[in-house]
Amino acid sequence: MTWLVLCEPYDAAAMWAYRGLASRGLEPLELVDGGTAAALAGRCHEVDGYGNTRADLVLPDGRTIRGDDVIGVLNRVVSAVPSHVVRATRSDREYAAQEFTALFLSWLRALPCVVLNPATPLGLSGQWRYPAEWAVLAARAGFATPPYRRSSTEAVEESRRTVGGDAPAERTVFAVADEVVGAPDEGSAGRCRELARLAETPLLGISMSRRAEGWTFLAATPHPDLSAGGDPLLDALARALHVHR
Amino acid sequence: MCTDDHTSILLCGIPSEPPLALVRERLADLGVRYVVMAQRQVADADVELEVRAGRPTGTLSIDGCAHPLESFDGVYLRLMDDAHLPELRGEPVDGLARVHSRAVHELLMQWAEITTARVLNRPSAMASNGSKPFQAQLIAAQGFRVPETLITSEPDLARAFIERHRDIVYKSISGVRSIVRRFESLDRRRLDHIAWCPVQFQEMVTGVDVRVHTVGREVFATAIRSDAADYRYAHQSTGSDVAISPVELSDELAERCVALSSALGLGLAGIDLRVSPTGEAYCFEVNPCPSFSYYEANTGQPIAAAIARYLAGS
Repeated sequence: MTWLVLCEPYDAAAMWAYRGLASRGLEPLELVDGGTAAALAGRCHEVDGYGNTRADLVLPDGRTIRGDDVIGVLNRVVSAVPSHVVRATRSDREYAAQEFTALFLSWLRALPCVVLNPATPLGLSGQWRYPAEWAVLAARAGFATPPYRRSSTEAVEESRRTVGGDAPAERTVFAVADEVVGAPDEGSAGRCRELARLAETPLLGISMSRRAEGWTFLAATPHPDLSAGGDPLLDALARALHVHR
Repeated sequence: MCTDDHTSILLCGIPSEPPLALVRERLADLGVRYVVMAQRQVADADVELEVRAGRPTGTLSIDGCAHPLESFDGVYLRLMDDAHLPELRGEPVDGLARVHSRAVHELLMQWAEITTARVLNRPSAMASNGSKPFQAQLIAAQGFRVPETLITSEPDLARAFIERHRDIVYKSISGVRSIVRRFESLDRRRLDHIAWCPVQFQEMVTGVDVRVHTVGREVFATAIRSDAADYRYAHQSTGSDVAISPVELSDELAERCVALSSALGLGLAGIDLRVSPTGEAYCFEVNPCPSFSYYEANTGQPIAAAIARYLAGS
């Protein structure tokens, strides 16, 4: 039995969560970067004729983590390209990057445990969405949303600005499975929970600001700065990674 | 600048490309209004997108005529990667024409994701076949058999799999360089190379290839007979031709194909099956943007007409 934290080597928020989860009794807890996970998964990934999978990891020290033995995964992977790939020629490098990414996606889906967040074809640690999508989903979840307007006459970077634009976030809320951490009130908590459900993203960071009409949606991300959630977020993560099998 | 706010269907892509051209003809046959966003003329296009209280609105301007985005109640996307448009060849990454093209495409994709119009297919739904084993898990969940598969970078594991199954094919894991090849004796000499990058090996499934196009609930099945491991490349790989003909699926199998497309969020899909001699349907993959025109041209199956009806909501 084990837990995994998958992340980039530079992901300070994931390292913080790793330490916090370990101190909450999630042991053994392995920290593996995305490229290494993809390389290790690539040693043996099987799909039988009925879609059943074997997704074991043989760690560099020789230990084997059986896919069935993983209890929960905190997944923050952005890139699943092993470091040795950079030595290839450009065309082979691009090909190998696609191959390892495709493999990681399949391997993570094959794990029969809770994964926060599941890998998707549009984001290895949860689906990345355009601001316009978030604006629609947030409104559907019951949030007040500022008007979002973009034009092709603007630079592409402008079209990627968040729904809230330059407005500062006065509150960052975390949806974690069925829990919500940091919500200013019950109504906001319910809307955050609903937004995470609509976005099919069980671990979601939601930025809000207070306006005359109440708490307004600014942005959401499947890759939030976890450390902003403090101990309550770690407690919620530990519960989610324990319970949701 | 004129304004055209008549309800219509939006077709995006290269107008001369056969699938788009066929759908355009069938829409004309139906008497349904349509607008073509010719991708190669992207320099003459602009998109304004606004979301207010969760409702997307805006305009698509083409050749000086503004079309409200809300006026489109059907959308067919056959877009090539805009980075490779011939009109942008030689244009630097930050060149104005390239930046403008990217902005138009990106806003169109944003809108296609959130519009309430019938979209074939939404960009997010088209992404699952970027990983074949990932998609295989989704396919199997809908009750299809999938070929036994080993992805490995360990030559010894590959050898054991090959010994066990004898007849093997190999192919990429992602959608890149996606050609199916039969594993032959010469390949044994190269097997140690997989240590650098894992390879997907699959048992060879014998049977008849069937390409199933689903359009909403309509199903068009085409049998393909070929000697090649990948019939799409039969002429190059074996020098042989393929014979294709319409085929009837059982109601149960047709329904399962519709359910699979629906589960993947695809109003239009090209499902690659191989039906074994015992009648079992193995599914290899689901193509979210199928070039159905090849099958229509060789069988007369009215796939484009079904797409036109779907887009028109009829």
